[in-house]
Amino acid sequence: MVLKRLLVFLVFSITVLVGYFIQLQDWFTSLILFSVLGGFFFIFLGLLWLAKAHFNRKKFKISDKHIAYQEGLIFQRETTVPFTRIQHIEIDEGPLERYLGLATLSIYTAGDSGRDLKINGLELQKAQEIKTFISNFMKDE
Amino acid sequence: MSSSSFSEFRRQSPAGIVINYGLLLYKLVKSFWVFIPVLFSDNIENKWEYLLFVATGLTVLLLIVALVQFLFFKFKIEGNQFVLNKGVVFKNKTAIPMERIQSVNFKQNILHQLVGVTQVEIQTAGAKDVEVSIKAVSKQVAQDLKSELQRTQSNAEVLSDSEIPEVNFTEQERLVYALTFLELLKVSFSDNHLRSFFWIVAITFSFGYQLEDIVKDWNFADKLVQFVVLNKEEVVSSLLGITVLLIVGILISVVVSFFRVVLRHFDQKVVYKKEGIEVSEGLFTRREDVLKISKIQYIVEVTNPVKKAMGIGTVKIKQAGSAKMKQKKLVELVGVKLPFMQELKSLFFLEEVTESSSVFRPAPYFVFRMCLRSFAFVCLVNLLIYFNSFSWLEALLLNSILLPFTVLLIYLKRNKTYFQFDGEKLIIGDGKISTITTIIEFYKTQNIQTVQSVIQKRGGVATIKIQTASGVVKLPCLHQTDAILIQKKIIQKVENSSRDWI
Repeated sequence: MVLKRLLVFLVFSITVLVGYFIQLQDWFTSLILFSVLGGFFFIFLGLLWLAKAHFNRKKFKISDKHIAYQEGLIFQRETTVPFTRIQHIEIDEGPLERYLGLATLSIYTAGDSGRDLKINGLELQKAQEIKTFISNFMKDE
Repeated sequence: MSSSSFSEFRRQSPAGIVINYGLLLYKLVKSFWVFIPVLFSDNIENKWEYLLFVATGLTVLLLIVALVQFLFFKFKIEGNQFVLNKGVVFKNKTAIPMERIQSVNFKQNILHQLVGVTQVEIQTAGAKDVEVSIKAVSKQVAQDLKSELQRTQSNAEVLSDSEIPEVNFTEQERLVYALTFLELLKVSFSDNHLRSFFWIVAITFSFGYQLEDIVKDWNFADKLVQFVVLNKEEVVSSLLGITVLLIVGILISVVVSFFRVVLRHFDQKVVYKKEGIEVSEGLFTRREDVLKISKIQYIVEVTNPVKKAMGIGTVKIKQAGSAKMKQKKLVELVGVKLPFMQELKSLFFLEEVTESSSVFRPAPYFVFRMCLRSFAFVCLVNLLIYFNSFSWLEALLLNSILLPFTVLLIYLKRNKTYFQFDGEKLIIGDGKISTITTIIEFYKTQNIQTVQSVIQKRGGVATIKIQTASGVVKLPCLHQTDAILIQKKIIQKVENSSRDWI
């Protein structure tokens, strides 16, 4: 929904801008301007499509013994972390994330790649739920 | 013994000032060596007075810093914690709970040996933990500190060592293996010289022109090198020249390898002790590492036809440690004889009945990918040949050597790559000319990752990465069905295993 509105706004504003320039310049300059703007627009569309495709690839799955996370468009990765190996769990909120009510959940193990599993763009509520779920399990151990 | 008590704050041995001084000097030279020639330039009047002034100034300054560092470096054992205070401007207080301490290692570089002190390094495990090193204490104090730390640790009884049976660890220390100088020679002779040779060639060519200037100044040493560098075109463009270059290169590589091996592994000794296996080695810098059996994450055996003929092999032992200490987590036993290798293996891994033993092999895509990469390499070589204006005949000859060799390497790699589940162990075969076998008790996995590129996905191929507390182990290009099977098996094992990974 947000995306759609954004797109409509963009198309509208670009049309207005182009119209302004056409009225200002001779036809040749405006043609160039128009094609450049059009190019930018298509790049923007492409980027949006890429972001969406990327987003659609991101999935996570929690069973009662492990958590798995899938991501990546060209190199598709699926990471599985068993609960028994988790050292600690962290929830981070960046300024933008806080504004949107989102959070990043990071799961650390003793593996030396540092942070082993990082799920961003979770609703804060959801992130906290997952954290308590896993923490409870870790206590049972 | 009674003199060393650690309940009160204490300083290092006074020789620590010397060690601090040496370290500071080393750091200074290391960061400012570029400016050293400037000091000796002729533009400065009263050059010698100036130099003397700078030298004395630096000496006094460094001495003061070293002294202050020494005075403010205090440590003690307080209850269940090791406490360390240091720093004047930036005060630093570190407290490590005993149960976090993984191992206490000793280290002596040449300066330590001269003033007769030891560096004590306390290693911890975990993502955000700290490493502590006490730069200089006498050997006696070092040993007291170590036993004190271990005593308090065992009192705390946090480590779950109870599940690991204490095999073979007799009460008295036992020297089980010592590397003689002759064996060191064997080791360095049988290293992979082809690889180091390629490095030498690359370096020689990229610095060729700079080398010319230096070489001109040498009087007698390496007339051959001088000849090669000055007549580069003539030498390179003749096949004979290349053969000579190859032999000389491999000779240099043997010498380089010899120095590397001797410096690092001189007088390598393995001692069984109560707390684990102690490995000590090094010519100028002596290192003492204690391997705790439970801490070992996986081992890698490396051997090649030459080594096999001499009946020796290399065992790399990877143990858990914090991320900062990547290098130190690796203990490398070179020149291990085959019976001892077997003994080590039976020591590290519990012998179990091999009830299930399933072997997996990489998908054909693996060979395809290798061919693609080698093709790129061959193209690059041919490009070089083209730009060095070889004759057609020579180019043909070179390719007729290069191509079969690449094919042979691919063939060997294909045949040597396999993944085998053997009870608790996962055995991974790898290698081209050398044979590399990784043995990992796969319940020690931290997390597991399946990676597929889009092309691999279409071909039904996936790579598995097993993350341990001591680095990644890769199973490249599996059939997708196998990958899913392996992943499931490992995850199930980890979830249901009651044994600790450390």
